[in-house]
Amino acid sequence: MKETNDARFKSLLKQALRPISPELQRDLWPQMLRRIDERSPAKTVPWFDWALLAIVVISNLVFPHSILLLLYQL
Amino acid sequence: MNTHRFLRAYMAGIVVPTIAVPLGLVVFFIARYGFQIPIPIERVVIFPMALIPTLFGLWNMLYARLSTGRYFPLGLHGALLPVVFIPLGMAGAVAGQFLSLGSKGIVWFDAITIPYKLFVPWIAVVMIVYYLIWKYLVGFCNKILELP
Repeated sequence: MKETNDARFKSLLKQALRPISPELQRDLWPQMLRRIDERSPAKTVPWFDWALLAIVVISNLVFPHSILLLLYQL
Repeated sequence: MNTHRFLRAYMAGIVVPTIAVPLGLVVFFIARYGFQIPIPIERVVIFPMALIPTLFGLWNMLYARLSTGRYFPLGLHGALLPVVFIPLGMAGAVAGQFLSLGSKGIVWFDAITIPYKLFVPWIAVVMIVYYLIWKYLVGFCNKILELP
């Protein structure tokens, strides 16, 4: 009697639950990266750095030959 | 990822110059053969190719050491690198015989003269470029390799 109940219970459980595949259905890494990005505060370039970049660009426009010297030091 | 901290720092440090050096060489070739600026390329390339990536890596290792347990801005650390680089580069240029001191200023490649009064502003511009490179590009590489 008990064994019959167990078998019935087993078949009911199998019907009620979806079969589970051991393989992942999708790549979880992109989702993980998205969550990390959401947690970190949005990074914006401060105005000070834009000003410094402008100084570099203007100096290279005024003295174009200095680009070669700059590249030599990079 | 807590192991091989200094190796990761070195690897993160050399990424940017390793990419930038070939691009810089292209500009030198264009200047030499396109605009006929008499640059002795074979002597000029030694310093950027041989030393700069290594020094970037070592400087980032130093940063990894200095920033342990305390806040130390990466951009500021990078901006100090020209203090080492510029004397080394100038020494290399003198040894390679493409830098000399003229009456009006420092003559590079027998073609480009930097007046003495503009030498300090030029160093400042180099430091600004290094500040930006280290803050954003090297910082990005450090973040990927899970360094501070």
